[in-house]
Parts: sequence; structure tokens; C-alpha cells
Amino acid sequence: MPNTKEITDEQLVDLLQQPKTMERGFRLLVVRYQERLYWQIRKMVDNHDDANDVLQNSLIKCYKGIGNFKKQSQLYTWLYRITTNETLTFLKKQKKRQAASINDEVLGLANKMQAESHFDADNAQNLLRNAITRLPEKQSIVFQLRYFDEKSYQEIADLLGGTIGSLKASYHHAVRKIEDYIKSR
Amino acid sequence: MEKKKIKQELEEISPFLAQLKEEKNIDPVDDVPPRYFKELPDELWNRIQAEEQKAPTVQLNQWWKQIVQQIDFLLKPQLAIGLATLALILAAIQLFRPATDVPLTADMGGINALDNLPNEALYDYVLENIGEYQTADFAEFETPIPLNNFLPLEEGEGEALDAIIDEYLERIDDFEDLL
Repeated sequence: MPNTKEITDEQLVDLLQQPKTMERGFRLLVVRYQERLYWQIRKMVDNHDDANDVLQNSLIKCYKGIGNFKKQSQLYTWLYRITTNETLTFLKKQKKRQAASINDEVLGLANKMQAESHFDADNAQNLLRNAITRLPEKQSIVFQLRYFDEKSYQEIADLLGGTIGSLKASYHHAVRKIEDYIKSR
Repeated sequence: MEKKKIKQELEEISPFLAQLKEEKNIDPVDDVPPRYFKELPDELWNRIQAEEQKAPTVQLNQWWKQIVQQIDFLLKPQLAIGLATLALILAAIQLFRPATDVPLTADMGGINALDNLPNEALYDYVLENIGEYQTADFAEFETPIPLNNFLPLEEGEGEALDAIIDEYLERIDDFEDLL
């Protein structure tokens, strides 16, 4: 058996798909990808505790779904997609919680802040996240991949499929919608 | 190179978002616990094992839930009314269906079954109930089975029967014309 660093992703998937070697495979997978996935999440999720929850849920989903993983796609691509979806789900839930807990006092304060044209960076980042959760799923993922992860259109096409032209159109459209949303608040 | 392209593209589409991105990049993130990445694999594996130990209970619960859901589904008002209506329709069909809706044929032994009845009884029955027969019924009698085989007629009776049949056929024709 090759040592940990020499194991390819394909061998890693084989380890994960066999009951006897599943634990070893999973530990290797986590060690190999945890940091990349964590920082991917942190671009969208502000605090460590939330990012930790999202990362753990994503990796457990990967573990549970590894039996369905087709080796035609790259392992990291697959992990990346699961993590991105999990991050979006978290942000949507967070937005709902915030909407439910907001009271008149907070709303009044927010209006006052708007009236005073006080627009701090944290608030803008929150609005940005809210705006992203309002986008259609594909646009939202394309926006994240381009804006936060700085992927080329070719890399995005490899991850999501589709043509470069359509991905570019999705990104441009998403940027305009997000800008409109933030400015309207 | 790609970063530069992305930045330039964003500045062209939305200078506002480009500026926001710059501001965000200035903030350092330093709230990750020091041993977080070392401990995460163990933490995750422990969590998976704990979830798998709970799994049989969960599966049983799910199995029970499915049964309850199915019962709930069957008790839904719309479905219950639908099923009751269907049951009534089926009962009505069964109740009002003719005793034998399959015509008797020689192949099925239907005509042979009449062999046990006296010819006089059959003859009387046909004459009494001739109104219930249609032209098509009489046509069926034009089978390879000769009429005389089961209605042996006395001399002259055949002609009388033919006349009666003709009369009824005319009546049937008149009736059908009226329709």
C-alpha cells in the first residue's frame, strides 16, 4: 500500500468504497481537503463556528454519498460542489432566522442608519450574502466561484458544465442583480 | 493572471462590487482555533460512528413512520370519499348485472344443457317469451344445428311456427322503424 501522500484520488475513492478501509479513506480525505474546503466556506460564512458546521456537514454528506460517486469526475470537483451547496443552504437558513428574529426596534435602527447614509463594510458584506441567497442556484454558484474563488470560466465549466458564454452571462447578470439589491437597501 | 482578469472584469461590470471585494480582502481571518485542522478528522469520525450507532433506531422509526404515513394517506377525506364512491359503483354493477351476461353457445355447452328439458317445455317457453328475442337471436338459430333436432315438430306445426316467427319479426321491424 502506498503511503498517504502517494495515494491518488482514485485510490482514495476505492478505500472509501470498501467497508474495511472506509475509515482510513475518510481520514485521508479529510486531511487532504479540509483546509481548502474550509477556506472556500469562509469566503461566504463569517465566523468560524458556522464555517465548522458547514464543513462538517459537507464532509459527512460526502462520506454518505461516496457510494454514488462516479469516477468520471474529479474527487475535489465533487467535494467542492457539495460544499458549495451546503454553504448556500446554510446562508438561506441563516437569512430566514434573521428575518424571523428581526423586531421593530432593529428595523427602526436599520432605517435610521439608511437615512443617515451610514453604510459600513460589515453591513455591506451581510447584504452581499443576502443578495447571493436570493439568486437562482446556478447564478449563485457561478458568482461564488468567480467572485470569491477567482476561478476561470473554463474551471467553472469543468465544475458545473455549460458553455463559457452562458457562464459569463450568468455571472454578469448575477453581479448586476447583487449590485441593485445592495444599493436598494 | 486570472485574478487580474477577474478584477478587471468586475471593475467594468460593477465598480461598486469591485470596491467591496477589495475591502473584504483587507480583513484578516484569525479566529480559527490552533489545533482545529489536526483534530477535525477524529471529531468527524466520532460523529459518523455515533450517527451509525443510532441508525437502527432511526431506521425502525422511519419504517414505523412510513406505515403511519400510509394510513394517514388512506384516511385523507378526498381519498376516503373516492374509495367509498368506487366501492358503491362496484357494488351497484354487481347487483344490477344480468345473471349471465355471457351468451350461451354450443361450444360452452349451453345448448347441450337444454337437452335435459322436455321439448314441449322449450317450445312453450319460446312462444311465451318470443317478445324478448331480437332478430339477431333468431339469426343465431341459423346455426349448423338443425332446428328439427331440438324442436321435433308435428306435421304442419313447422309452418305455423314459421308464421308466428314471421309475424313477430314484422312486429320487431315495425318497432325498430318507430325507433
